[in-house]
Amino acid sequence: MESLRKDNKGQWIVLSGLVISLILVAIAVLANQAVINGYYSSNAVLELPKEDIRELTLQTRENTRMILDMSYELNQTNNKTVPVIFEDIFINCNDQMKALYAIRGQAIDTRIMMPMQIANETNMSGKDIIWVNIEYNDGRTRYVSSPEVIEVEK
Amino acid sequence: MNDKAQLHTLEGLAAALLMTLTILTITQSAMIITPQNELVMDVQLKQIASDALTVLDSAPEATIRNDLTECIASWDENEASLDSNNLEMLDYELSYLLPDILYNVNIAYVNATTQLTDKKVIVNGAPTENAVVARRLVSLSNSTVSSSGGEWNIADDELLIVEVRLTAWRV
Amino acid sequence: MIDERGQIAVDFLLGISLFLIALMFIVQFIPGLFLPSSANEGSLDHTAYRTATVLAEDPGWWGNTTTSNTDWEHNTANVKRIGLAADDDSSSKLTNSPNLISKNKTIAMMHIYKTNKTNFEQKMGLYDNVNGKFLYYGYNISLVDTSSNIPIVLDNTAITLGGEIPADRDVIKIVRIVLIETGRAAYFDAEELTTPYPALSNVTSLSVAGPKNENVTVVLSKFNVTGTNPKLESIELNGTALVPSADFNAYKRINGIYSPINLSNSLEHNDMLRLDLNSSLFSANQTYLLELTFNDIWFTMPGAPLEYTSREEPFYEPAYLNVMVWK
Repeated sequence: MESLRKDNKGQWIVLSGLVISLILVAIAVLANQAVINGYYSSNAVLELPKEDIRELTLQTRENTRMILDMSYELNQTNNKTVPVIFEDIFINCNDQMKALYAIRGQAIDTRIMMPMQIANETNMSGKDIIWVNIEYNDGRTRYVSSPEVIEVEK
Repeated sequence: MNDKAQLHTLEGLAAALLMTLTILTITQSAMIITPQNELVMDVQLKQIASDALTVLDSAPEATIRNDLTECIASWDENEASLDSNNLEMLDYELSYLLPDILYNVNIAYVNATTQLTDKKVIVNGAPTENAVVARRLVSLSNSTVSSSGGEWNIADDELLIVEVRLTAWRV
Repeated sequence: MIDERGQIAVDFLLGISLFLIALMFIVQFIPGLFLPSSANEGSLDHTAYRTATVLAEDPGWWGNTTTSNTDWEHNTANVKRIGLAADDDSSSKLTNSPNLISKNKTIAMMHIYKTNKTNFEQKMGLYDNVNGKFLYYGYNISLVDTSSNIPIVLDNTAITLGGEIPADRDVIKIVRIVLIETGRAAYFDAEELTTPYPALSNVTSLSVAGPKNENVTVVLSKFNVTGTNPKLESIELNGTALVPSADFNAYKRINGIYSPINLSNSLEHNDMLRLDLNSSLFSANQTYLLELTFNDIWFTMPGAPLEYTSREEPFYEPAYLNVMVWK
């Protein structure tokens, strides 16, 4: 066993093992590159606020319809005109939506474009057309629909 | 003495150990496969959770008895705790659409006097760290609330926007 | 003699290094050769995600040189993009209803698939373009019932297309929850139905304005049950008794699925009863009176019959849209 301790030439084998290991690491990194690609693109899918934006537009449409219905109803009992009532409620809704989106760190704004085109009873098509500006911004994605034209059947 | 054949055993062993350890470290490391698969799972879970809310919100009458707006409008203003959910209809519909998925539902709304309010309405447990959140807005007016028999207090000239927050996770 | 020891290791090191360097070059210059499925799953993920999203959320598009619109189901020859989301007013371009799946569009998609598979695969983008050469993916797209996972049948066609799912390789699967239009129906709570006779009667009636070219489907629920044998007794149309299966089919919703029932089948309060009446019964331009007689189910409100047509709407059922893609 004495000769074993004296002999130090075999260090080459350990060194070669080390080199092979390093090369294996390099190959693993290469293989990972492709996987990391998938990571980033899946991440991009998660980060694109597709649902949030669609939700904002659809909800604005639904609100507009509901508010207009309410405005016609309220117009029977108080002396404000339909556009005035409509605008009051719409601005109030916008404030609520702004606050709800702000919690998620998203800035939104919905605004009625002036002048508001609300048809009166003599309107032929029987449709009210309301133009609304919709804005969405979450720092990465910005979406603007200006104008968003909303038709409300009477 | 001829000891050639025995000499480099220790070095060989060390080299083998080094290589084996490297391979082990690489294959065991979380960096290799997990990020992609887990993210894809997240995307799917998020998609299916927001699908469930969309379907409930846009369902015509004969399909699902109570849609999302009606369910939320019928809320009795009591906060839920584990085992005592107070929107059973919504809970039933969600569990039908989301088998094998656990979820909690919160609602959040803003009103002029109380500022932001966030209440639990369905509690099924504590979400895991892979939970995703899907959101949907519903608008309540005085008439929708009274026709659904809820306890919301909404003025005639007001529309209350309520955010329905579905936290979903797989077990 | 001692000095020459270990030389073998240097040779070995040189050899293995050369080999590995060569290997690395190959790996670097021919990507995808030594990186097996993991390298390409990424693009499969996107194909599956994109396909499912377009099908569930987009109404599709068709166009020729003069005009273009979303009602591609009537212009399948010029379809640009296949999407299944219902668009109830294609002229306005503002209606959109993600996750509501149109019956006609789904049938048109099956038609395109059956007449020209390659065309379908290209329209759906189910291929990988490698230097101008199309490598088509394997795929399986189906609309299945939420509880039984059996494909939904529209117009006698099961909505499932694509190949067998292979067991020997990775399959990417995306599931979407959708509502599929399975026909047109009018929904009534039994509590709101009227009876032509003095109150607490077993008989209720509905009026149907003809002519109808689609089946008349009535969905009833929330029955007022008192007695031990609640069931549907008979159906009369303008005084003539209708024959089961020749004139109409009855279904009961059990755990979310409508399954065919006999008239002797019992009906509980929360059961949903669906009656499919043959459209040929309603061919004339007149108002028909439909009279339903039950046993141990009671109607409390005397009055004129409710109108069917005004309550008729597309009938949607929850379903899963499964999209599976593999290499």
